Amino acid sequence: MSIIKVISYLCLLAVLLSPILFFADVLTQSQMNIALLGATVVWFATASTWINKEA
Amino acid sequence: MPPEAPVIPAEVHEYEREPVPSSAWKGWKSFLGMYAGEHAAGTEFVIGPLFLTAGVSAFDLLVGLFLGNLLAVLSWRYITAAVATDVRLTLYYQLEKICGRRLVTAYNLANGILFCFLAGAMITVSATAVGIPFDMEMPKLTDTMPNGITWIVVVLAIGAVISIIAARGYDTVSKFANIASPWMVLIFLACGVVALKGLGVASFADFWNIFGEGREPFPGQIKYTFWHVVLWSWFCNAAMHIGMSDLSVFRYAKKASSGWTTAAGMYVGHYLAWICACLLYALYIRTGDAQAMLAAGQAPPVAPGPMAYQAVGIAGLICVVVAGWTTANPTIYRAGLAFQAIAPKLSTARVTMIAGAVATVAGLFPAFAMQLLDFVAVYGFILAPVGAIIVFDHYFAGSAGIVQNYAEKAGINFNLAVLLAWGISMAIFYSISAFGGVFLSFLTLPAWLSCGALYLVFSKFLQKKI
Repeated sequence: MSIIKVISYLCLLAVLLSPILFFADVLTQSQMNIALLGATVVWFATASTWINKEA
Repeated sequence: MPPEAPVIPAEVHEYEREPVPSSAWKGWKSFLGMYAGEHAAGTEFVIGPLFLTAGVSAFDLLVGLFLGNLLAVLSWRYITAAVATDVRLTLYYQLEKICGRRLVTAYNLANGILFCFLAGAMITVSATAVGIPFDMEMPKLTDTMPNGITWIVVVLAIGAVISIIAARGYDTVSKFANIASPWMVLIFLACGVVALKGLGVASFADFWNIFGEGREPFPGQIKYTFWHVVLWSWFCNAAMHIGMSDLSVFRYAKKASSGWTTAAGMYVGHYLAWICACLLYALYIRTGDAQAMLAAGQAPPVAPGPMAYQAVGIAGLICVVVAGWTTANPTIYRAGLAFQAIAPKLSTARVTMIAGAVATVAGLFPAFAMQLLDFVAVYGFILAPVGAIIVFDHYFAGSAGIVQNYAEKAGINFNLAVLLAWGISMAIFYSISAFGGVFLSFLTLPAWLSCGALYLVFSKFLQKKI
């Protein structure tokens, strides 16, 4: 698995975990929002390089 | 209208008037991405809240949606995908073989326009997100006309971009959905989790009590029971499964079992996403503004952009825009195919741009999005019975003693049996709804069955020996 793909999956994990950590009062809402935005940008940047080559 | 016509590929070959060759067949993964993306869409941000405005109970919502979506998946798998992998033709070309060119032209026009209106609702939803940085006034539930110049400019810009993407063909649409869908589903889930925290949910009992035994519907809405939820969720995509519109999609499938991939769209989009959106709206209606509107006898607005932004910030806004795109793209593409059946000399790219322009104009009018439950029920009711013609012709023509694909074999342009079956079944069941006050989705299946049966009966009497 390439490093780009690992980064993509980590981004999805961040999108999944951020709201859960907010729900558990580990993150504030603004921290969660920043994490979600960062993960979103990196997901689109990295996933577009490999996701359709596998389909 | 969108701005200047963009530079688009001169020719995108989509096998519009021939069976898809085996070299172009696609595996189930291609459909999984498309369906997950298409049904976890911008309109889910509207539909979820509209269930709440209809006063549904927890059981009706959770169990009713589960059952309705299961029936939809079974319809796709055992009706649409089964026929599609047998004939491998677009809906429009298959219909032309049965109905004749002149009759199918009228159907294609109606179909294409309805698809454009649906895509227009998705553009409207995206506009509620894109408009936030411009301090755009959001449309109210009762709005029908554009509410200002900012709204118009935002909708035109979104429509232009969506149309260009759709015009590049099925592959581009599929690729876009593949990238967006896993992320988009998780953002929907994030919205739901954040809403749960805002609603003070700490246990399943708390979650259940958000909806409880249901409540009176909001002003101007009707009360939804268990069966309203089951049948509405089954038939909200009736045009695509029992209406056979997705013949055009599944003709590319290697096997009919690819029809199961629609479950990704149903249970992620029409279950998880609807419930998450419902929770977002449940949180919103606890605010002072919403309570004041309810006290004044008005329904609080359903504005997906601001709701998602409040929950998860800018990522939520991007999700609303992208979710609108992933649904509008294949819808405009389907509309383009419908128009192409009318004007086969035009390239797929060019007719898709025309469909995109019509959808953009429709998106200017918020009525399509704000009355989405009603519009979707009507849209399914009108188009679904035509799918029965294809299904009954495919499976029962031999046993009924009629000629399959009669218009093609008889060399006629107008098959009267089809028009009579469609017109009579529509007239009877729509009258029952309009004059008897019966919920329209309750009548979609009876109309579909009667259309198919009437087609066989009329064909038996009207077909001539070939």
